[in-house]
Amino acid sequence: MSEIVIGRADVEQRVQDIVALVLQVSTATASTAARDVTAEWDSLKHVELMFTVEQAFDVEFTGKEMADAQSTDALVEVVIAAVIRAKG
Amino acid sequence: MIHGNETTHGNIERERDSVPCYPRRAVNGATAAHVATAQEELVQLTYAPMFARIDAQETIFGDLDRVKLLSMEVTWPTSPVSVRVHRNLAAEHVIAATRPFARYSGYEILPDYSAYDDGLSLAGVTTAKEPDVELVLLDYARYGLSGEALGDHIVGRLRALRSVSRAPVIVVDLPPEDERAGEVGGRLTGAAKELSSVFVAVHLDALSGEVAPVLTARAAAITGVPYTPQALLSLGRQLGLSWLPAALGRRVRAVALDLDGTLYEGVLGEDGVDGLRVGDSHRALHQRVVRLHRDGVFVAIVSKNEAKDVDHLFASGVLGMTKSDVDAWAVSWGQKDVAIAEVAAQLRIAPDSFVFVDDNPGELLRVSSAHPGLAVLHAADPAITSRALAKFPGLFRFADTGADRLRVADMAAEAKRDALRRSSEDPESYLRSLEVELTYGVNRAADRARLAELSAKTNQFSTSLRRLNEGDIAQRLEDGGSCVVSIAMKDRLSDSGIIAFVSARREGDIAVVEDICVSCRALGRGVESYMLQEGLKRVGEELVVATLQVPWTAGPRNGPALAWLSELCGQVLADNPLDIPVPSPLPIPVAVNWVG
Repeated sequence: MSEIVIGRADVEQRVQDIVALVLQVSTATASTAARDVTAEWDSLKHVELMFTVEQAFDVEFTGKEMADAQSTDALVEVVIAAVIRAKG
Repeated sequence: MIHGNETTHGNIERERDSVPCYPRRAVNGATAAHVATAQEELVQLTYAPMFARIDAQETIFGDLDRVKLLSMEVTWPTSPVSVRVHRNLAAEHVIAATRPFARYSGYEILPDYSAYDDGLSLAGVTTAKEPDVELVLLDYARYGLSGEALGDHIVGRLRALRSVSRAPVIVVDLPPEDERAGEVGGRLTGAAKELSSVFVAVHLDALSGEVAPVLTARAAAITGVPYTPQALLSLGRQLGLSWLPAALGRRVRAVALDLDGTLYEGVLGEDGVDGLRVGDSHRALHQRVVRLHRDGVFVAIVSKNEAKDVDHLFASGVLGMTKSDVDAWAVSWGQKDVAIAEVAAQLRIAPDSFVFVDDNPGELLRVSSAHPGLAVLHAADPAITSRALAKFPGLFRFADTGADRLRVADMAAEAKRDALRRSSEDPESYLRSLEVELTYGVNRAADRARLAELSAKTNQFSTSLRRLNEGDIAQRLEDGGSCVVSIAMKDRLSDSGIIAFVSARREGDIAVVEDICVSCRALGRGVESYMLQEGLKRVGEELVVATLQVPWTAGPRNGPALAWLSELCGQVLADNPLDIPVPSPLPIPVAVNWVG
């Protein structure tokens, strides 16, 4: 199976798009979204966001990663870590 | 024999010319881009909801994809459905997963969540504020009970819920991974048979291997649900497409199928039978259609082709289905909206109980605009079409009353009845040759599910047009002042099962006949007057009255019921309610039995 390489910028863009889609906010808001400042990011949306990002990147987060992903930036870091882990 | 207009000698070019002149909007890449004129834009706007639902098909019936589901645009109308959720888990995630599928079914879910409650105390549940549906959604892992004890606990709470609500109850069963699933499931199924309108929702996708595993402990602490992400979506799809529509009484009764481009790749009139391309996905679709037919769904072929070519096609063995899998035919060069009306008439059902499957969006548009309420399915990809016909809203049933299969068998016997009718000298000798046997039951709990089904489906012969669910029927059966007479019919050609009921309650010295309901498949043998007059006579005897009061409702399609009522009282219907003396049965040659 050929390996698909994605760069950090791609990950950032896709994560922002998903955050915007799940939270129903603009991409500008999504780029700086965080649970403690973005009203739309409640506990229900958090789970939906985690599951949607997992499926989009074909990765599986640990419980700790789900708890740590409290902002779009943090989510990007979690995705990159999960992608690297998935590649073995 | 394939029915069709064989005198109209069309050809493929004519078929192409006859494709409706509606805008050819790109649908899943299947159609050409359209030239936008003001008129086309208007039509586009008018029919945008239908196109939007077509666009949603792949998302709804294909592989479960969260981004696609979140991006799905819903521009078609939806109706609010209130769902009271009894739970001990974060059911909000299940409802969120259900929303896109429920919207495809035409529902906007309005949830009302209980507190997290392992004991299902039903605190605050009263009959005063009844929802459309009660949903019991539990994390069974929280109960450290044996299967037997857990089953008894849940059944006990279902009984308690049933005593305070008449709304249909959906209880989601244990996932198959739980070792107590068999024992608890058996108890729940037993309770569902005994309690009215209690439906056990089994994880069908998990049982079929479509989704595995269902349970995970990975993120339960954060999500509050024991399900895997895919299992959550699967649960949402089953709830939105299958369980909710079934509990609410939605029923698709017939599938009308196009041929060219739908059941195979190619054009029969151009390529001939040998030139058609039938792949594995097509064969899976054929098998799906055969299975639907076996389960009691009517199958109709609606195709612009030469009837003799279609005869040849079905005899050739190229398709994974035969002529015996088809109940009605409309093969001609005429318009398909007319063809749908033809097959609906052949099957004696309304066009709005069909789902029409065609690869041409223009045909879907024409048929859907001519027959409001009819569902359409765009056959862009046979694999998706096959999956859609497994999960389409209105096709799933929780319990099989057997009535659908009887109806299909009954329709097959209808041609033989026609021949008998034509060869008989008079109506009496025709009835005698049929050997009609009517079996009446009074207040029989065992008939409850079938009577609710009959009430939900009957349009032509219903005096009240009221839709009674199992809870409503149960209440009448248990009420000492009410009388529900069920009527089953068979003749020497087929057993139709329960095809009618009369429901009445005593008020002073009269009986108010609240519902008189006869399945359309029981009509046409000339026994409806007899069967109902016998039933009304029994109502009079049971409730000890000499006068019946019949309230009636005039609707768009219950003309046959009102015509019969008019004939019974011997005058044009004016008074409402209508007061009539308890009638005497007519002297006609049918055998009568009473049970229960």
